[in-house]
Amino acid sequence: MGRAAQRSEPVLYNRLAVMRAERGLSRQELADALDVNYQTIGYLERGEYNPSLDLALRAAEYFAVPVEAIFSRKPFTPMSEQLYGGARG
Amino acid sequence: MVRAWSSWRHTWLDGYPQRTRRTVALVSLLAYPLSFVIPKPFGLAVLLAAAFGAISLLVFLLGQRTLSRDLDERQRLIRSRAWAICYWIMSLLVLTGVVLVESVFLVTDRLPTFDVRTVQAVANSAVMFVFTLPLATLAWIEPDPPGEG
Repeated sequence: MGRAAQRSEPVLYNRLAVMRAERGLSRQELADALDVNYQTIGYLERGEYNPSLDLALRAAEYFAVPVEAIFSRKPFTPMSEQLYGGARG
Repeated sequence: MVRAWSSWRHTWLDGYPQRTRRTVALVSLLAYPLSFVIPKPFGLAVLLAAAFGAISLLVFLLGQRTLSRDLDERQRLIRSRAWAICYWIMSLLVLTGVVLVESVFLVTDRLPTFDVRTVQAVANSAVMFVFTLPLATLAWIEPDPPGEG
């Protein structure tokens, strides 16, 4: 999950790291696909940079999911919790 | 296999940690003016000035390449921040100079005069400073890249 953006920028959480890991992509490969520098992927994943609308839409298009599945203004719940529920023993 | 265009977007700043970049930036900005105030035996000052001038020119040329390449949106944002900081630094320096001259004028009731050597040194330093400042600022504010994870 993306860490909250620093400075005075609005907080934007994202699932880029999870989605990239699920697909077995390196940062460089994702950067190539989104036409950005590989470091920008790292800053995005750490929540230290908020993407433009264009870049967010390109990411959504690349992963073939709605943009709100990747970026959110509220923290994401873990995917396992979403899939299997949060109930414990 | 053809390498994607974005992977060529690495600038020369990418490969060095922030501490190294800041050291180079400080040396580039301070060494040239300093060479005019240190003792000058055996033409050392001229030699140092020439060396630092060459370094500044090299930094400027590398910077031109770095600042003008096809950057992505985050890099363009950082570059804009660097230009904005440069603007404020230059404004502050010019304002400081004007205030100093004006202060001397108010106290002594005449404008300060400088010998040719001093004026030339200040002018040379200012030129090198202007050349080097944008990239030095960029090198200063660009954070270390996040590790692969």
